[in-house]
Amino acid sequence: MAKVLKKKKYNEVRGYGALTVVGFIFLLVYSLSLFVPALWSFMTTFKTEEDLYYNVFGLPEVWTFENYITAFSKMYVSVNPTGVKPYKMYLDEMILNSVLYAVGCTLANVFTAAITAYGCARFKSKVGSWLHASVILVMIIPIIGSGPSEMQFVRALGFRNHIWGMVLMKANYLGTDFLIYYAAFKGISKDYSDAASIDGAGNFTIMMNVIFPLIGATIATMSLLAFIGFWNDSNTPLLYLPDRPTLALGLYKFNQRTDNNLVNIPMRLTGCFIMFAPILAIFIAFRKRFMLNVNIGGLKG
Amino acid sequence: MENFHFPQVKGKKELGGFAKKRRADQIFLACIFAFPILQFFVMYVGVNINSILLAFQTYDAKQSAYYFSGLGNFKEVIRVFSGDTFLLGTVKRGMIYYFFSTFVGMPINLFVAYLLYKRIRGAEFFRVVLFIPSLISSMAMIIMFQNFLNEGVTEIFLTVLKYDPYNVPRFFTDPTIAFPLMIFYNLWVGVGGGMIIYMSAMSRVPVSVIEYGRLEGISLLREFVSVIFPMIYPTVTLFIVTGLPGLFMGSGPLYLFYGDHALPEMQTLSYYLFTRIVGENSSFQQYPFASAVGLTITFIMAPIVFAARKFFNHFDPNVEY
Repeated sequence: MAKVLKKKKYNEVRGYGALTVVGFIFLLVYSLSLFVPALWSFMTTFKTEEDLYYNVFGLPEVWTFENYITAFSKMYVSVNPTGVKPYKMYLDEMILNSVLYAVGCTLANVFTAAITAYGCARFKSKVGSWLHASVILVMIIPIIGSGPSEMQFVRALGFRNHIWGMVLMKANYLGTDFLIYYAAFKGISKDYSDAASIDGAGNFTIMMNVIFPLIGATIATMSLLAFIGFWNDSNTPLLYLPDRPTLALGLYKFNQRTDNNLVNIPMRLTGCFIMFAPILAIFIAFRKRFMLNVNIGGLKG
Repeated sequence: MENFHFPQVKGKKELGGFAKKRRADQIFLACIFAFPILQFFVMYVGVNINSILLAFQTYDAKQSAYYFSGLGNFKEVIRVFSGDTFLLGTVKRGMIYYFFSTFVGMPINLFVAYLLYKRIRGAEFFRVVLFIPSLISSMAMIIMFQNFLNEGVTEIFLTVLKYDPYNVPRFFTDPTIAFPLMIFYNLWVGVGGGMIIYMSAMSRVPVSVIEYGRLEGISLLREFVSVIFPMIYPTVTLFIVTGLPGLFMGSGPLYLFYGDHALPEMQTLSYYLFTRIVGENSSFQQYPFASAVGLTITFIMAPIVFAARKFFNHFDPNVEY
């Protein structure tokens, strides 16, 4: 009997109201609108330009991996870094730049936001409450058009065209991430740190070995999201890394170019999938991690 | 009084221990706060102060230096925005983007998050699907979107709908199509926007409240309006208030689509300002004017944002849960 009367989750919708039917159809159509172009694009990466021209929707005449091979051997953007002769940067170097940029910025951003939130949430101090207020304030003060000034700073500090410069730039605590860490740290009972303190642990040990592991899941998810964001980010490299292009910027430059016969539609789409491959792998490996519950509260904080 | 022995030694010792802990805490906080504060003062405070100063400067190309020039840039801003139909047009289009993303996009986001929260059929699958646009680089998404329309959809127009090749819609070069298409693109990639945060807010609504509503037999719509919405009100208004600066600065990813050559009929102010600092139309000369435009808008926007925040807080149902 117990099996038959399996209880539904409390918030599960029952029956077929108009709203659920409309919603279901909407989501179905939306899913198709994402899948159809993506599948078409993926298929096109196995076609030659000629094949695409005569056979837009059909399966590739001959399945060829040529585009992927060509992408690695011939896809390049011209760069002109200071101190070095202008040269052609190929895909492998752009991938390396992407990895350095994404890993570096993720570590810097997550760590800065997490330790600042830790200090604010676990200790009573004037500076701490000031920092917390600054996060809220920055979110609601609508500063527009500081781009030129930021560009001047980046040039003056020597950050331009340097990945370490971008890492330092992204090492800030501002934004919703801070609020998420703050809420997470606030939610941990003081007993943990008190117990560790009685056992003789110092503040650093308590932070790194006691409290951080307790919100490990949150930190892991936020890191994954940050990594994906930086890997995919084309805006920052566009502004500040013009001669140290990441894959995202390379793709942008490649898409804007019309000058060489390598730049055709199947090649452009191949670039997209090369870029997406690592993210897809991460998503499949950590799918559960992305479905995290977060709490950022409201404006009054 | 004389009989009272103040436990001096012991007390001092305890106080000493406490003070020691306090000192250790202070040193610890100084260590972990030092870098974030420095970073904040350079990359936020410094950048913004410099941005204000820049708005009062002019670039001297001969000297390759900026000098203070009073209110010149602001006079130029007023002159240009009261006469230049192009720049006024960019502001108008920014507002159109904003209204679509706020009054169409956000309700869709809430609706979708609510459907998933209610675990409609296929919710697990849809949850993954809705996540996809945030996994794919906007650059890759744009390349796929562009080519699918230019090749795939064009092919449908030609072969299925039997269009004359000259009459096939030019999706990205005909401004009467390209501009609405860009608005659509924004909404399309944003359907799952804010999903995680909205769903988390909804899942904190107590079971008992939902159960009570169900026993009363309320409809889904009613449950959303009367039970869920008041409880996620702070989250929703947070998004509205932080999104308000987009009122003038709304835009599609025009630069990624078009680079330096977006159609004039679809350019937005944020695209215009972006192209002052990057690409072939950028130059040091234009930094001060761009900063002055930004400062002017900030000046107009700040009171609106604060008023909106007050307004929303005033109507906060203040549900405790």
